[in-house]
This record gives sequence, C-alpha cells and structure tokens, in this order.
Amino acid sequence: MGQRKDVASAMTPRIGEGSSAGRKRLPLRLSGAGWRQAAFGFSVFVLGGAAAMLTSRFPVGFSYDSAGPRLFPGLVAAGLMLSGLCAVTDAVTSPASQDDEEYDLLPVALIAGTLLVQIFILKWAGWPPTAAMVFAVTAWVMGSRNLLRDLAIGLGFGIVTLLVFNVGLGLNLPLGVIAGLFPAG
Amino acid sequence: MDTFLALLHGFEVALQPLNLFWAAVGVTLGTAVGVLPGIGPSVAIALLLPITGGLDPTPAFIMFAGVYYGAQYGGSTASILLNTPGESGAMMTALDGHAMARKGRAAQALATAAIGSFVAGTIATIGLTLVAPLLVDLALLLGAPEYFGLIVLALAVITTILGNSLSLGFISLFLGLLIGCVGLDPQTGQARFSFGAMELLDGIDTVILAIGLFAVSEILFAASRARYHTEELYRLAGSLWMSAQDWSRSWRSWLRGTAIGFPLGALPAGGSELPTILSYTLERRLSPHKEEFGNGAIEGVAGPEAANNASAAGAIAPLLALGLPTSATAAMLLAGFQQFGIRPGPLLFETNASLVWGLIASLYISNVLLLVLNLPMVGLWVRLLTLPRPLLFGGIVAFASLGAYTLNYNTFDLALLFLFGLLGFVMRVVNAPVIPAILGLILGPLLEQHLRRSLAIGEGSPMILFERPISCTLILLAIVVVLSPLAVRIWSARADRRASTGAA
Repeated sequence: MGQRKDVASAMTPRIGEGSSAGRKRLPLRLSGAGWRQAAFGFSVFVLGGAAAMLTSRFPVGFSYDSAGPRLFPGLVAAGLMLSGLCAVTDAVTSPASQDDEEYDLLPVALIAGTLLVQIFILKWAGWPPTAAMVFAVTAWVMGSRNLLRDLAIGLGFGIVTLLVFNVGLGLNLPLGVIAGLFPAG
Repeated sequence: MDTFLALLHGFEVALQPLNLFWAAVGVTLGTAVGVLPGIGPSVAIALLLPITGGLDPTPAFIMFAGVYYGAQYGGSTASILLNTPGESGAMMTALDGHAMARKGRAAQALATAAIGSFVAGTIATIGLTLVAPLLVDLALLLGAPEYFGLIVLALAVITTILGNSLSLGFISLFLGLLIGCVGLDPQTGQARFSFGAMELLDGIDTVILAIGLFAVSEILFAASRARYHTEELYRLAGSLWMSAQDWSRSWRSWLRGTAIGFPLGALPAGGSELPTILSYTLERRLSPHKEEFGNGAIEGVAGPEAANNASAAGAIAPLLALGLPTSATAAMLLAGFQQFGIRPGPLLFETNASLVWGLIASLYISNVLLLVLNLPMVGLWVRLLTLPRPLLFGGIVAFASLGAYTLNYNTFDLALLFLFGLLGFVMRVVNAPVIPAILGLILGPLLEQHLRRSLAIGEGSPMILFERPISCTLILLAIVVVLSPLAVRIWSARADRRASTGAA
C-alpha cells in the first residue's frame, strides 16, 4: 500500500489533472520533500534517544536471564537512532526530488480531530451516533455536501452494526443514550 | 499417506454445511472489502478480524481462508479497473491490467486474473499440503539461534525490497520492533515502555497498528491529496469472455507464475513483491509480443497475478509450520491466531490438527467458491467501485474505529488507533513503507525471545549465533541482502562516472 503513490505517478498518464485544480485551496501546506525527510529522520533519532534513556532505567539483575530485559530494547533504540541519522544524511546528500508534492493539512486535522472526539464521547453517546459523526465528517471532508443524508447513512450503519454485534454475536458495543431501549445486560 | 488422511479429515471438517457457509461468507466479504480502492488483503483481514471474534476458532479460520483469497481477488479487480493496487503484490498486475482496461479489455483482464488465481491457488495449495509437513520436520530441528537467524533474514528481505530508501525502511522496521517491546517483558515480568498504563501491560495489538497504519493513514493521506486526485474507472465493454487467443497466451503464464510464486512464498523470507516482479520480467522476456508490455499484454496480467496468488498460498506454509509470517497478509492471519490464543508452529500440527487441516482444506474450497461466486458476480464488484468516494471513505473510517474498539471494548485502543493513523500519515508523506513496521511488531517479541534463549545457550556470548552453521549462514545472508542495494548504488555510480569520463 505504501507504494501506491509511486505506481500511480509512474505508470498512469495523468488524466484530467486539471479538473480538480479549480477547487478552492485550503491553507496550511507542507512542501519540500527533503526537509520533510530530514525532520522525520531527526524525530526518529530523538525518539530512539528517548527509548534508550527509558531502557537504561529498566531494573536488571535477574540471574536466570543472561540477556536481561534491557538488551533488546537497547538494540532497537540504537537502530532507531542510526536509521534516523541515515535518513537525515540521505535527505541532505541526495539531489532534490523532482516529485515535490503538496499536502493539505486541514482535511487531515478535521478527520483526525473527529477520531479524537470519538474517543471521549463513545461511551456516553453510544456507538450509532458516534459512527454517524465519524462517517459524515469524513464524507464531508472528502467532498460530499449532503450532510443530512450522510448522517442518516452513518446512523444506519451504526445501528446495523450495533444489532449485528450486540444481538447477533452477543458482543457489547456501547449503547450510550439508547441504553434504555435494550433490556439490561 | 499420513498427510493424505489428515487432509481428508480436514475436508470433512471444512465441508460441514455450517463451515461451508462461513467459507462462502468469507470469500464474499473478502472480495467486497478487498475490491475497495486502496484496501489490500491485509487491511481487509484486519478490518474483518473483529467479526470473527464471536465464532469458534475452526469456523473463524475457515472464514479467514475465504477472506484471504477473496481479498486477493478483490484487490486485483481494483488494480485492473482503477489502477489502485491495494498492496505491493498487486502492483505488477496493475501495469498491464489497467492498460488492458483502458483499451476496453477489462473483462478479459479480470478473467485471466481470476482463472489464473484459481489455477495458481489450487496448485500452490497442493504444494502447501506437501511442503507444510516437511517444514514441520525441519522446524523441529531448528534451535533458538537458527530461529533468530531466520527471523533476521525475513525482516531484512522485506525491509530491503520494500520502498526505495533503505534508511526509511529500517526506520519503519525499528518503529515496529519498539512498539513490540511495549508491555510486560515475558521473561522477567518487568513493565517496559508502559508509562504506568494498565492497558499497555499486555502489549499493543497488531491489528490496531495495521488498521492505523494501513486504513486510517490511507484515508488521511487521500484527504490531504483530495485536491490533486483524479481517477477514472473503466467499465466493462464488449465480449466478457476470453478469446481462444487469450487462453493460449495465458495458460503458460499462469503455470510459470505459479512455479515462481509458490517456492518464493513458501521460503521463510518471501513476500509477494519479488515473485510478481520476477514473473513480469520473465513473461516480457519470453513473450513474442514484447511491444505490448506496458500497453496491455495479457501475459503481463496472467503471470504476476498467478505468482501473487501462489506466493500467498505458499506463505501459509512457514506461517503454520514455523509461526513465521512473511507478508503483511500472513501477519494478519497470525494476529487472527493470537486472537484465539493459538500459536502457530510445529506443535500446532499435533495439538490442533483438525484446525490446521480444516484451514488447508478450506483453502481449496475457497478457491473453488471464489471462481463459482465471483465470475458471475463481477458486475456487482465493479458497481462497488463506482460508490462515491466520500461515502466509501466515511465507511472505511467508521469501520476502522469499529474494528479497533471491538478488539478489547476499550477506548484506549481508539486512542492508539488515532496515534498510529497520524504516524502512518507522516510515514506516507515521507514515503516510508509501513509493512516493515507491522512485521516488526509481530516478529519483534519472537526475535527477542530467540535472541535471549540463544544467549542463554551460549552462556552470555553472542558468538553462539555465528558458531552454529545454519544461523551463521542465515545472518550472513541477511547482511548481504541489506548491503546489496548499497553495492548496486556504488557500482552503478562508478559505471556512470566511467561513462561520463569516457564521453568527455
């Protein structure tokens, strides 16, 4: 899946590329593949350093285990730091990429934000309304403009899955506000 | 003969009406989810895992077998009609398959993919039946150092093949290994990287990482690129059947693809990228219609698609016999085993024979079901592709959060899903492959366990890994695999320099 972008860009003649250009541009954009990779590599290096620090605090001294709980995480932390550094060096030394794509961060933030909200309201609101929210927001971000219809579809999906899981499979999706409609337990 | 009897018993299990029903459900759901653009077989399995939570292990695995093949087939449909390979194994199919679709030969491309998958799947499953017991015998001879070498080699091959940057591939791998360290250390009971959270003591579920890195990040990535994104669906037109010429150009490619795909898939360091690329290259070299390659050569669909399916079936051999997944999809199957507390490996063939052979038998059955159900229903699958993208994406996000939540009925897992979705988005933006992370997470704990056992055998000396011939060979091979792209780069840079000085 990670390779999808490469294949699509390498193999297809870009058909109808102009058709979407007319759409309104959203603010907040990243650019510069080299900078992105360098920043990513550096963050990984820092993460590796943090992991190494945490690893050094694991208690040791279990005589029955000759390697101990520190060895493997320590190796992984070192690997993260090394590969992070290599990614930075690669980004700095390799010639600038021709394929400098741009990414809108606002739609990403909207979908991610909805997922975040879902974490906090799922137990309280129950599964169907939460599913409706996640569904409708994602659809809206991706260009659908029929919010009521999308909410209805999402709610329908939520109710059907709730019935399949709770009644059909005997599992427990959160009922939330509609808990009263179901017999206790 | 033992194998034959065991398989016969497996068929007895798999052919029970209820199990047959689950196989059909699996094939249908697998195709339906696999056909969705950008969703590959491994995500399809990850998304469908929670549904099997309420079943017994045997019907659950019979359903997985169906999903495994169904998603494989659905993925090739999306590659051909939309040019959106959901997984790297389908990339080669997309090349000429999509070119055929552009020429109005989508139906023939789909047919040669479907029949080729059937032929390859059947032959490879026979191969699996014969090879799996041999691998079990072999597995019993391997000690901890050999297992360690095997896992190192498998991870090295996958990390090196995927993506175009070695450093980014290794970042992905080490991230997965780090995530695999979270939780209680199984040997000393020490909590590692758990930050005092109870939910982290049990470790992080592979399925959450997979749904986050594959599905959620795919949506986020698509959302960030929605403005630039266009795609065109090619409808089925003209004759829906393969002509005599199509058949005669396809059948050899199916067999060659199978011959390449199965052994490479069954090797404990396989994956589906290498066999499909090899098959495509071979078909182009052998074909009298070289100029058609890239513009819709049917051999270019038939070969790689057969290789892809054969390697998928082959990958089940090391998964069952050694407990070693060699592809993202096999890793998801392993996650399915873990969900039921079952650990694949040589002992599984003794302790859970009816499950193992039931699973293998249902691979045969799913393959037949796939052909019977899917060829007539191809119109329906094509219609699924015409669903408006916004609704499709909304459905995938809702389904992803459903899948993550129902693993443990815990909102903590949703928080992890959120984090992994963002991580996957960043990885996609910098073009880092995500599959090494998944395999790192699932194989990391095994790797550590075998490393520590080896050190215990060697009384603390790491030289034990190099003193035993098999483990030494495997580790050296892994080093060669990792260094080979560097060597190629240096060599070609030198050749370039020579060429440019020669020209000047």
